[in-house]
Amino acid sequence: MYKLMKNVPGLESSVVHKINDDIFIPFDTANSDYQRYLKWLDGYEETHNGWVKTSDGNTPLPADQE
Amino acid sequence: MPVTVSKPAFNLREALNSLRRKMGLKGSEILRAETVDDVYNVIGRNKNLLINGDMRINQRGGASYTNDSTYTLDRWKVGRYDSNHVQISQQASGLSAFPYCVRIQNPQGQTSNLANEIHLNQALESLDSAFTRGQELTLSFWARMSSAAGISRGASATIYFGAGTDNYVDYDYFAANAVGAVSKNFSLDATWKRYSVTAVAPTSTNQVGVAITKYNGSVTGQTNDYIEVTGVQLELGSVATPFEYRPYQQELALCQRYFYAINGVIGDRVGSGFVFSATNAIGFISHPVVMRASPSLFVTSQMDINDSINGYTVSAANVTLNKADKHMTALSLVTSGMTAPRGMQFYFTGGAGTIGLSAEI
Repeated sequence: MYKLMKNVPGLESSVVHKINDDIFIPFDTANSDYQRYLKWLDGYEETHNGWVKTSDGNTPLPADQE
Repeated sequence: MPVTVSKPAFNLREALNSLRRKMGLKGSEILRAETVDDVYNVIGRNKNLLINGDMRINQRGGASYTNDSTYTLDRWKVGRYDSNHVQISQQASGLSAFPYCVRIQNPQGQTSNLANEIHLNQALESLDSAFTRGQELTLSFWARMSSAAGISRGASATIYFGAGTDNYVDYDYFAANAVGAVSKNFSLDATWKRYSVTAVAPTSTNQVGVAITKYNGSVTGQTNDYIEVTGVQLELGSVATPFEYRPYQQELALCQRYFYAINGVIGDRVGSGFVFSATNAIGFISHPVVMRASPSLFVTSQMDINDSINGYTVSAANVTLNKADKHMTALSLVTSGMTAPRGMQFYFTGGAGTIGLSAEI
């Protein structure tokens, strides 16, 4: 599961938190963690047998409110 | 009119002796070289396309790595098809040329069979791959296996190719745009030996990767079901030439393009920044080298902020990513009671811990 981060008040989120691995991922298409996040948004889950389409799309948890 | 021509004295004996001068194998190879490239192939010129092939560098610091699809020793990623059980560790090799090796192990009690071999991968980024198009590449490595009774398996080595740009690796191939692979199986024994495989890069190649695979049989519950590997080299040409040794600092800098760890203990400084509200501060970390991409962040230790007047503790959970670029990362540090605006420094206070920045493929 992923959660959007709101790091600086007033700025749109550009970081997402991958909760299970406790890593913070910048929105950079060259970042392989971000590539996986985009795949997850498209409805895929990463399994031991590769990517499996499980839904039409996934939605991250919203960022905390101020 | 007579013309006199004089020649310097010529010592025929010395000339003959110079022809008999003892010349080593490499000296002979250089004399036989037809091109500059031939000479470089003898003396080396960053010929090893892989990084940390001698398994010296372990910035993540793990004594062992037990989850699949994760990075382990620097630049080496593990994958396993059908379970989440792997055991990867850095070990002493006992070899003078390569003091360290990687152990690829089936965890104790885990069934091991042909379907769940364990892969250790390294993928090159596209900027270091495209020039290989249409050329021969040779992957070589030193390996041995456990001498435990009942373990009689082997390994395979694969060179695989992709047409994409910096696609990530799944198991032993690129997750997208794969365009070919060449594998070779080897029967190992308990003695270190060198093995190699050669492939021709397809003309559509934009990414190259390699995998060393622990190729299992049907073994259950063995405590020492492993192979060990070191001295891994990928080079142009059809022949495995001697492993290219690089100085530690050079190898570390190569690794830091993909992963940078600040491993600190209490009091170790991390960076500086500014306090901009009673609860928020931004701290900056300059990367030692330009990273491949904006890195992901993980933090395992609490930090302290000191603004030269007061100190404030920030739990590890409140150290998050504010913004990452290839050359610098900004951390968000959240606590309470601070005075803004002030400059500050921040440092480890939670014991030994790690700030990890990953731009791996």
